[in-house]
Amino acid sequence: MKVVKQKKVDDCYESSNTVDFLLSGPITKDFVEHLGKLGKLLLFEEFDKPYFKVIVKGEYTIKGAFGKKTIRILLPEDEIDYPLDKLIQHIECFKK
Amino acid sequence: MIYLNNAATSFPKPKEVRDAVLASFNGPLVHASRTGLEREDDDIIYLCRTRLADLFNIEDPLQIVFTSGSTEALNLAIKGLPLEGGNVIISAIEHNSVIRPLKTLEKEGKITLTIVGCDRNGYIEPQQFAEVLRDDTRAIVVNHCSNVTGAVLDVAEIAKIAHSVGAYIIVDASQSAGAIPIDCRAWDIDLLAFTGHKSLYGMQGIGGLYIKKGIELKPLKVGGTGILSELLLQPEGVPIHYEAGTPNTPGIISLYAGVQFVLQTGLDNIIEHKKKLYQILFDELGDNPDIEIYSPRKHTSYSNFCFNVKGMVPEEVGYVLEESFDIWVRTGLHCAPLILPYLGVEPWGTVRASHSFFTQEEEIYKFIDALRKITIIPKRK
Repeated sequence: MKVVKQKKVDDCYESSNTVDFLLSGPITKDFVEHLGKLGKLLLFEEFDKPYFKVIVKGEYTIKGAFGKKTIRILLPEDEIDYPLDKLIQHIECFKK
Repeated sequence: MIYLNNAATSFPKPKEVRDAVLASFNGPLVHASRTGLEREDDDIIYLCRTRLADLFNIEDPLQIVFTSGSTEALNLAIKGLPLEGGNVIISAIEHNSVIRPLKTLEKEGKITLTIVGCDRNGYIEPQQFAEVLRDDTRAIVVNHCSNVTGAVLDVAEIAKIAHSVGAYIIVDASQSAGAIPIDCRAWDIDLLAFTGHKSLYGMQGIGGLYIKKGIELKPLKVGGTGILSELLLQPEGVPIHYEAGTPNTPGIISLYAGVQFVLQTGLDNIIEHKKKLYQILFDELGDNPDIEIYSPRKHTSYSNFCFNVKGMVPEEVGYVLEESFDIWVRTGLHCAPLILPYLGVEPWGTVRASHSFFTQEEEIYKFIDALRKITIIPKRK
């Protein structure tokens, strides 16, 4: 899986430090479980498109839905330039 | 996709609007004064003013000035009136299109600003405006309908209060125009700002300002008008004094078709449909202990269902609705930051689901079903 594009979520109503990653392929259960290795995985498979959250305590939270190509990363409020290299590396080492 | 963000921009638009806009590309858009008599009926700009005048009960359609939307209309009203040295009253339910121009004037030391609070549904009794009225109050600028909760204020009574000290009443009708009745004559409104892209079903980029006869504003812009080109100063008279530059004719065409749609459909029918959907939302979710509702049951436009899921920030609710259920709502502050403490929703704001005349009952039930499912998220930690 590759991170094709990243964009800071900058809507006028949103005050959190948030980044969206566009991925090279759709999100699968295997990919979510791969992300889940980073922290605590919460999975809601009963939703129309299953929803997941990966909480990396004290760092960030990743969320998204199966079948979509975008994940959202909620970063610490006070760290505008939070380093995302390790997360990108982890995403891009997913080969399925 | 289930679209419940009509308070931001309505979608879908009536077929008549789409057809009219597409047809406008079939020929050159020429200023009405430059066309022959055979095209007199084609003065769509004037026709649009007449239909807006019908909808808002305005005596003279030429008292309606086209702008790019409510923000420009409100800036024209606020910056155009002689407010300097006086006090201006606004409410806690105002949009930033009112707050920011007035806060700027306050920062520049040109006015003092008084803010009237609201209840936990965004409603304000007219008497609350009377209580803060001052001898030097120059204007009350008030939101007819909250873009957050959908609460509707009694503008007619508030206008009387403003006029009791000789102050102007400026009404922000962004949410109410095309959604609920507006009567400029009966309510004695001085200035009414509206936008075309919400309940009037037009395109983004078109709106207007009604200016009561006898009120003179300083124009926001001056320049070409297409006529009276020999004058080196901006021509006098309404609307030309305020409409410098090439008009947004495609936008006006869309607005004309949208207003026609509203008038032909009938406001009563539009309200009845939205009221039915609103009632379903309250019947199904009103007693849900996991959902906090901020929209009022009365004094409402029946358009906005404003809520939070307990234990979740609104952004996540909106995100899950969109990503997992393909339902589009709006979350956050809704560009109306002053209302937050009154609703008790600082700092994250609320979720707003806003339906339109085109929203189907089954779409509302799908939204309700999705929302019930989402309430399990904060419980699974």
